[in-house]
Amino acid sequence: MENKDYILELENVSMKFGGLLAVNEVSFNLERGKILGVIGPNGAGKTTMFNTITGFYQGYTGTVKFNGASMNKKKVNERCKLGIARTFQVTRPFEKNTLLENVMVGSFYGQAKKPKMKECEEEAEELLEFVGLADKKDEYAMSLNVAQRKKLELARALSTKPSLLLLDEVIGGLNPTEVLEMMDVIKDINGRGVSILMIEHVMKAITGVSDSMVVINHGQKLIEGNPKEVMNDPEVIEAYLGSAARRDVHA
Amino acid sequence: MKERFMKFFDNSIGKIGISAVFFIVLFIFPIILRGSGYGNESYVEGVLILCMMWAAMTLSWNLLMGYMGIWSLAQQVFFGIAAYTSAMLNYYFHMSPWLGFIVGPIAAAVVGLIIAIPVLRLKAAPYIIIATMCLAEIIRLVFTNLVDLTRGELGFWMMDSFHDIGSINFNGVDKIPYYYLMFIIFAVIALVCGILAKSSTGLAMKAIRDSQEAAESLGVDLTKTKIKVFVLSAYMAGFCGVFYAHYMKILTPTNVFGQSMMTEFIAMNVLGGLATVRGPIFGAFFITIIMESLQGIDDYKLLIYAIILIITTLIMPNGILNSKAQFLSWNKKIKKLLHKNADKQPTQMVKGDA
Repeated sequence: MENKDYILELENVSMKFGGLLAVNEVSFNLERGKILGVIGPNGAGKTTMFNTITGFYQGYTGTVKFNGASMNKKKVNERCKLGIARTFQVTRPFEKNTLLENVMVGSFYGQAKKPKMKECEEEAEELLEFVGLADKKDEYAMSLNVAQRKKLELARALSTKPSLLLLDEVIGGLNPTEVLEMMDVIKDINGRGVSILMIEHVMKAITGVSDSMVVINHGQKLIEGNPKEVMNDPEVIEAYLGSAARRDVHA
Repeated sequence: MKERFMKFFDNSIGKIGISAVFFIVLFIFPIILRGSGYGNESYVEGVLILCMMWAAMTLSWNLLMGYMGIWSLAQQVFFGIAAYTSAMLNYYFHMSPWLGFIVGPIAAAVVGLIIAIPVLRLKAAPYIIIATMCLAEIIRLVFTNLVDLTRGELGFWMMDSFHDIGSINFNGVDKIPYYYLMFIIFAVIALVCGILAKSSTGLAMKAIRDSQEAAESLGVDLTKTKIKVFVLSAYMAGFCGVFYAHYMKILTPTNVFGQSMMTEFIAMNVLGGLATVRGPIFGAFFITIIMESLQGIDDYKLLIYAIILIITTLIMPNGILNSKAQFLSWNKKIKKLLHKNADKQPTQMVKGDA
């Protein structure tokens, strides 16, 4: 057990907003090279937890460890340079920039070593090709639809050459074909050695790709385990469907 | 033919060509003017000096507002600080006005740094506007009330003109030396803005404008980039301030620290188009020349700026130079309208004949 190689470790992380405890003593680990799915009802604190890992919220207690080193005093851009990349639930493209420029920002500023602008351009083109937006590279990001925006977010996050990728509902709002496409892309990224932590509401999709799952409710960790165990847990069913459903399951 | 003409404006060689022609024309303009035998050349040169000065100032503000989306309304402060610094050092310590070009912009940059620090903590535009406006107003009041040093609203006018270099005489009788001095400042600032926009810093600036969170999550150091651009912007504005001090040779707090000058920059930049280099230049030349040719409307200046701002933001929010798509759609609408009328006209005429 103790010999396992963890890329991300959360130790008793709590985040308070005034009187509201959004994340309450959450601990879990992510093994290097694996995909960990995070599920939970709306408002359970999933995105807040993401923000503590990426550093957007600095006022949390507990420890976030990345590659064994504490990230607590590190700012967002520093964590990015060390290899933590994220996408946003509500996509935030640089709307008045071209897609190429969008991806180049991450490529130039997000890597540990600053490359030359020319190299960034080539990398950005490759990444746009990878997510399937190569033909739109000179268009402004404001012209994209939801699915394309999610793909752009992904390309942008990848441009920083992360070793840990945090995906905040990249599948939300996509149609079934697009979901399948996106799942393939995510598996492909994972195949290249990037560890992934993903929040998702589409159960079928997340149980299909995750190596293990964590369920969060009211800011607390309910259960952690492989997808099958988690989906059959009575507490999870209650959190998602209410106590009546739990009775039905038991009956 | 028309297509090709339009394309020429779009590709980068065309753009570089147009700006090269613009600067060459501006460079040889005084020579043409004198050759043409037009009597009042010193007036026209004076207007063009103002055009270039406001264009340079608007360009410097455009870095903050247009490219980085920081709603700082304190650009005139950098201008005024540099102007007063150079003028007062000249009067009290007999420093050469030429050295003002070193000291003035540095003073402006330091003030830029001081203003940047509180602004860094604010993310929403309204708070930044309030903070920068208040800072500008505080500085204006300080300069108004330091009567012993600045003579307050009476105006500070005891500074020298630029000292002569060899036979080049800066006494103001001949405007040519000032014209070329301003031309150099303006051209260098325009060039720096152009290069910066294409550089990696330009990439970060535009990313910050569109989403600070996303930029930060992609590794952009918000603090560093903002401070860098603030200081550079103030430094650029400082050159215009020093020039103004020894060219106009009278400084009053209302004139150089007042919000009316800032309003001018906003109108010029919004009219020409934010986040481009050509936009502020076009806006500054257009507005300055219009204002000069419509003399006697000085009292209504601010009203006119307000009207310009409202109209441009309503019908072409990207500025005149960035609204090609809009112009094309209007063109189509007008053609349609004309077509309809053309269709109607024959029938009406037949009726009339009958």
